[in-house]
Amino acid sequence: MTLLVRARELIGRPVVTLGGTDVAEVKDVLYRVSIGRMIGFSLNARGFLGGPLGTGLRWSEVHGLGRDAVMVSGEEAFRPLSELLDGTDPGDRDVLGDRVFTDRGVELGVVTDVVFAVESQAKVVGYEIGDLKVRGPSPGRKAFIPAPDTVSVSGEALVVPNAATDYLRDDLAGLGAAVEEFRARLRDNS
Amino acid sequence: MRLRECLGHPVLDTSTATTIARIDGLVVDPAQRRIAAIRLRGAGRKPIYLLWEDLDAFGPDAVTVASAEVLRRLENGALPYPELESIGRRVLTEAGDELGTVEDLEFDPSSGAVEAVFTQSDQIDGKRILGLGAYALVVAKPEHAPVLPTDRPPG
Repeated sequence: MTLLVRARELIGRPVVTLGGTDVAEVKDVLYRVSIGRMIGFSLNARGFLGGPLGTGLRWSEVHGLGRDAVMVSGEEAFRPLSELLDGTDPGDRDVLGDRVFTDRGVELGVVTDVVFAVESQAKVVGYEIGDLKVRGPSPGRKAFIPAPDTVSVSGEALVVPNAATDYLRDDLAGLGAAVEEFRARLRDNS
Repeated sequence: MRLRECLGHPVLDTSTATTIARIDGLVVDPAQRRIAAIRLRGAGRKPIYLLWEDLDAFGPDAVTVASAEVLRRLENGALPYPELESIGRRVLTEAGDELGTVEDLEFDPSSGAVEAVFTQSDQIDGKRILGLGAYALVVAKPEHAPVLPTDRPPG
């Protein structure tokens, strides 16, 4: 079972070397939603007065991502942030607050989080939608929705296939199973 | 031999049959996964160390040395690895998951090799130690324990 993580729960997570030193903490998760991939992390200094380091860590340099820390071999893996962001588009990287629509024109809500499947590549597999405008899996106004490999995104909106609305779930475990079923369905339909 | 068991044990100068210090802690060399030195309580404020290679025997009740001259008053940074207390140190796997904090260590009193690390919930093979830093003791996943040339073959 692949580990699913939400981008917002990674903010502030310590970045620790295999030598046991906490060299930074996660400032932001960097991703490209249009191709469904995590680029890596931007970094803050550790500690109470820690501010942005201006550096980032590529996903390919991450040794391990667990419940409590992001593990790296050493600080030599850190790169200037500009190097990681080069060639990417701000609208593709910052989808929190974007309105979500289906390709049939139904508004679902707004993006409140991005969910990744953590493997050798970290892929975007779904979103958390808040302010839900359709019936959700539970009485609350939030739900998780699976995403296909690529989505259309601008600086203000995200478009998902209409079929995704059949797979709204209220927790990450449910989302995990839903992602498999949803993708199988997309394959069958194509 | 357990770390907690030997705290406070005397260091005996066998030439004079006197106790010259007591064990205050153990310094772990994470690269070699062994006890590199014993930190001692003695007179004065600066810590005194007994390097593993300078002791005669690490017995069940006392450590023996041939003479008091082998004790070293080392400056900060004189050891090639951080002199960090193991007990209480956070334990983190290479996958990024915490396993509690170090409660005790088991080591081979003849070689100094760390055989096991004990946390509240786990017993971790000493061969899994990857690093020891101010934030954590980092351990490999069980199937990834690195093999050193100095490891004895199993059995």
